[in-house]
Amino acid sequence: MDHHPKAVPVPRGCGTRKQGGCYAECGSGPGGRPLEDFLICPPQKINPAELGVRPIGVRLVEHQGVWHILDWVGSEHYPNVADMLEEIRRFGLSRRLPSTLDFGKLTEHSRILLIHARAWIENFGAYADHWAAGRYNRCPKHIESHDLPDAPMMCAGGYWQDVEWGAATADPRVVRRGMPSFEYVAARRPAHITPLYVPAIFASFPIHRLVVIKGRNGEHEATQAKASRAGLPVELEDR
Amino acid sequence: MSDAQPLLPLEEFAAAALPTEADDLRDMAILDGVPEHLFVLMLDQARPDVVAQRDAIKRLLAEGYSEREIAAVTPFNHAAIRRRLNLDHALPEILDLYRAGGASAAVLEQCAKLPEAVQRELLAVAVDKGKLTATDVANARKARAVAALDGLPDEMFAPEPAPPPAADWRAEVRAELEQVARRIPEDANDLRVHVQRLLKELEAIKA
Repeated sequence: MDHHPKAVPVPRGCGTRKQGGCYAECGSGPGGRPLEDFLICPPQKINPAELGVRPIGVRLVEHQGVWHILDWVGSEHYPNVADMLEEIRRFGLSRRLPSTLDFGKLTEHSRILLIHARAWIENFGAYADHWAAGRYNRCPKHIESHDLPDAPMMCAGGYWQDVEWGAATADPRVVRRGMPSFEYVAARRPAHITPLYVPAIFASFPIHRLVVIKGRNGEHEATQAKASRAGLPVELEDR
Repeated sequence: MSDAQPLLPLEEFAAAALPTEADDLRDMAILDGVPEHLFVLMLDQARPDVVAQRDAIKRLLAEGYSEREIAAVTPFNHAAIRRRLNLDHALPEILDLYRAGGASAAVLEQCAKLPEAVQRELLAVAVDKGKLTATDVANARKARAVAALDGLPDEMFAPEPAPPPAADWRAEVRAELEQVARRIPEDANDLRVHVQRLLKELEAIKA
């Protein structure tokens, strides 16, 4: 019997897990910590060129002797930052890692840091002036200064006030946003606001285990061998 | 382009540029009115000067041709055209270094992607070594990435807090057994004795 919290293998914004693929998981379950614990609020603006990250994919970075994963969440599958966060809230984190990754650098102290092109809203103050009732009354992490009438530079609560592609409801601001395995309620962007986005790191999760998906023709074997170099539990799953 | 001289499709110039000898090509093109800048690009294989190519592209753009039109009749696709235009971000001293043979085209392109401060650091390296290599640029980029990473807050890399100490299961079971014992009717003596025995065994485990 293993004790590693597991992510739920449902169809996600980026599709289903692929045979032979390797996935970093931060599982969910009873006794776990709330999603908000893992948010970075305010998010951390980045210069992608300086950090050497690209708008999709992962990069290993070393910080104080520990290697971590910088993972850019693609806007194609998760146009809203809240899409990814609500998915993690329900099913845990599951992010594909390239088989070329140097798995040997990962340890139990490694974290996976998520980047999104929309994670920092430069003109967040405009949103704060038109806050819609919803999941959060301003700051998901209950940072008191974020709840004051004067808006902070940016607060993660803005992710739930800036949702596109949601279905309309009776309330002109409230939308039901459908994802492959669930839907959530949030607020669409106020009509008169043109957002100014900057890429930012918006969440940091521990990595509970690596999962390799079995392939019918043994596609997983090479990946499993590489992943087993990590200082993390590596488990084989059917999906 | 003025109204009196309408912009001619670049395809027409390309069609006129079929002869193979470079000099003949140039002469014929000039006679046919082909922009000289287009030649710099069409003769790319013979004269791979990326700065000259950039200048030629810029001149053509200034004359009113689009990137698509230039890509259609030269060996440069859209990405290559953008790379050449991006050389505008290179410091003039680094362009000079390239033209003097102190840096390759690839090194020049990579330098153009870096901030001015980093390019100046690389220039200092070039002054010391007399040239600039891909390794120099890679090292500068790596140092920049390390600096950017060091600038991030430590909290986002912080390890998970240690889980709270596990509750003593014996205490929990004892509490539940004591609760059970209180609920057993007095006439169920055997059962009461049994539960009391379990409680004693639990105490023994603790000891």
